[in-house]
Amino acid sequence: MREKRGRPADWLRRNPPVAASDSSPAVEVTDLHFAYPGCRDVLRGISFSIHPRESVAIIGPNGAGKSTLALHLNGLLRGDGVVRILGLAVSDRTVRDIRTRVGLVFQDPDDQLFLTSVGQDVAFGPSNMGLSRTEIDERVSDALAAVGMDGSENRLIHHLSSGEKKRVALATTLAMRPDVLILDEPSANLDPKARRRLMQILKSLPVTKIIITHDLPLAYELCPRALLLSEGMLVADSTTPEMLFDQRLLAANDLELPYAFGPQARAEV
Amino acid sequence: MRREATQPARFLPRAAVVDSAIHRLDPRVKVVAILTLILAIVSTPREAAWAFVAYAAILVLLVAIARLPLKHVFRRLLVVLPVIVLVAVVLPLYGAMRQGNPDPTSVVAGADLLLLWNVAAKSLLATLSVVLLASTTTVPDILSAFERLRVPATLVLILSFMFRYVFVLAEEARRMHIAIEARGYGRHRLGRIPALARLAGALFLRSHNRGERVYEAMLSRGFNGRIRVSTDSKLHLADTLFVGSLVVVALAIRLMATVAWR
Amino acid sequence: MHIPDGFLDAPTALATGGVSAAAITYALRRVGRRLGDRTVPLLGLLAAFIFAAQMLNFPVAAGTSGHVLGAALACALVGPWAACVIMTAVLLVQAFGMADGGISALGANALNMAVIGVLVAYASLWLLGRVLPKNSTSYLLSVAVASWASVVVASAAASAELAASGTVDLGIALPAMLSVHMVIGLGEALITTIIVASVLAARPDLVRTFDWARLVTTRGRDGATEPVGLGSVPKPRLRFWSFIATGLVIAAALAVFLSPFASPSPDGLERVATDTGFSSASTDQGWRLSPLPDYRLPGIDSEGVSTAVAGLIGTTFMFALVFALGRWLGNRWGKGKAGSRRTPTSARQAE
Repeated sequence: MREKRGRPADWLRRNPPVAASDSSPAVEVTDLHFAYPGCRDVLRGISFSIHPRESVAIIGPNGAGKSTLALHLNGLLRGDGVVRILGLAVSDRTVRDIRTRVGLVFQDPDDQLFLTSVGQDVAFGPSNMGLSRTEIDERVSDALAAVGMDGSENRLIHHLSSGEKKRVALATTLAMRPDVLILDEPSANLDPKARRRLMQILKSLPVTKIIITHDLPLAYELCPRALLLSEGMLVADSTTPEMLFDQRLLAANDLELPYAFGPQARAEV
Repeated sequence: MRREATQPARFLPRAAVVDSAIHRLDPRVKVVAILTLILAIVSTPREAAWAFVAYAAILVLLVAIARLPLKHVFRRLLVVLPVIVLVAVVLPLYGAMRQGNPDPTSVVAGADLLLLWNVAAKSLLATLSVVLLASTTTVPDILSAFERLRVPATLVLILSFMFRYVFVLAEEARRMHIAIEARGYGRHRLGRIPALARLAGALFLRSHNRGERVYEAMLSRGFNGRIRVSTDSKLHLADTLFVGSLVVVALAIRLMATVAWR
Repeated sequence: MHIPDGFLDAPTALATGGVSAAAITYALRRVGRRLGDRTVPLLGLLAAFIFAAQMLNFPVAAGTSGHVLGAALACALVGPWAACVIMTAVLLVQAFGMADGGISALGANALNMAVIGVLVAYASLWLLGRVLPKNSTSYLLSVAVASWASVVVASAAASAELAASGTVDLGIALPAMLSVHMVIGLGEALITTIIVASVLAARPDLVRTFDWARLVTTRGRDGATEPVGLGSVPKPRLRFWSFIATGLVIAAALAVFLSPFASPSPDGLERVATDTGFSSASTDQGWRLSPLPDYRLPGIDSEGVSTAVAGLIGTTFMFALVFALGRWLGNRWGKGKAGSRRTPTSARQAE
């Protein structure tokens, strides 16, 4: 029999959010509600804030609203409530600016790589920012170097492997030099080697990172802090180890750690 | 700066990546030159057989300079053969019908043989020209040439996206097809039709959804309504010489053909 | 139906090129106005879809397989302007990338398939949409007819262009092209209709030419009004209408293809009349009143073409008459039973 899900207040009381660090938040979401037209609420009053250079994982069962939340952070969706990126509230006026500061890496790289060659796609972002040709070229080669795809400007996208596509998709956002990087299921469909490569790249990036993932070991390795989303509500916000080793919390939200994760996982709570 | 040799149009086998002087030409001059050549070929009066020989010589020369594998070229030319064969087969019947005499064994008139020659020569040479273009120029380059030659930008972009996603869709269709086959079609061979049609319907929905997601991805990276797929590359001496000489020669042959047969 | 290089002369190629370029530019503008920024990603993806759909092998007769042209399919799903642009993109890729269709014939091919094919499909959908009842079955019937018509008319246009170029005589090209494509059109109609039906079942809002907001409400058995169901296409009725459409098309094909070869000898009645001598008693006055005297069409010289077209007109007229009669009878008989309907159990329980 399934355990009844705890009310958000209970969890938050037992696992208070990570202490705020310096200055103003990089991402601040206050009481966000959203429903797709004709459907019931997908996001039901979400509030959290993320500080610059933090790495935060967002985990939760399917249908929790994780991807929908991500689409709010760069203004593709607008809900009720306030979303602030680096102090700027998301609105029609600010959305163009915000999209140069927030890099969103989609789940399926084929959705994100829509031009024909690697160079063209990576240059798309910077060229929309009004940069000069030389600046664009420089950013393209820097971004490709950062993901380990130097010199691939002329390769055709449909010739790339899925791991390479993921890295190029990441490069397309890095070329815009964002302050906040949001990744939706970065390790999906990657073999262990490609996954390891991607994780190394992510570790090397000094930006604020929000990683939506089912890959709990990845969340554990890359993100000190985690948010647990379930049925449109923020159910928990704590350090990743505390969250992942709280078996009851995970089970109550239809999550579980991989079987061989470690002795702590098997400890009785 | 000289362009690097790159993967030519997608249907060349990957192992046969070739580089040549032709590959390295600016795509704009290649498109203009080949189009002029094709127009000259199809408008040349069919009686001027020597003109077609001249055109063929030019094309063979270019194919050689481009170092294209002959097997590849011949395979591409096969596309146009069925039509020529069809015309050849129907010709006696056609000639007879025209003369009002329904006897297909009567001798084929010279006029009708000229018809066969006309379509055969022109379609073969024109196809060879297109093969030359497609095999020495990557698709992004062809599209870039279109954009700079003032083809409407929206259409060029649609072509670009279409080229990009055709393979993705083909792969999705292949996977769906395998899933259908694994479940069996039903006893009748025609039972495949509803299954395939439903596959196509599903493919349409996926394409539409993907189109929406791609739009979101474009917005996320600051899409403001215009994309350029081309760069501001400049023409080199080799480019100008190539297009200049080819256009002049093609037009010269064409004019001489008209004059000689007026 | 792609015309290769070398079959059209320069004037025809240029003229068709000019007309289709103008039409496509206009279509681009219309679509751009409706879709705005979405134009490029959506149409690009859908053009890829049509291209992929054209590659699907649909088994037809033993060993052979058919392919769908897609003009009517695109038109039904995304409307005429978007369909025109999409078909143009597909034709361009085929001409430049696969040498399927000549470069110099692009204007003509685009005119036939991207412009005429799409417009004929749209006109059929629009016309039948106004005449037929507003439900999904009638819509699918109109899709079938539209697909068939688009293929046939496009092939007629192609023969006209070939004739205008002096390559083939119209009197030979037209019947040949028409008869072949009337059969091909059957396949197109069948495949297109099933594809549209499956999209309609899943996402009717994505089928642009299906105006589901105008669905007629009907009286349910307990007297309440409810919209005509959309959920899934009722299979038996789909088969029925496909059967009707197929029958019509076969009849038309026979009329067009075979009638020119009909025997010129007098038929039974004429023969008897001549033999027994009462044929002279009939007058020739009647002929002048007939619109199609002796199966000839005024203004067309070639006997073959004339008979074929006359046959087509006659068959269509005949079918329209039969259809109207059947509808009327069906309505009469249907209405008669209304008063004697039993109230269903649920309604009785509510009392």
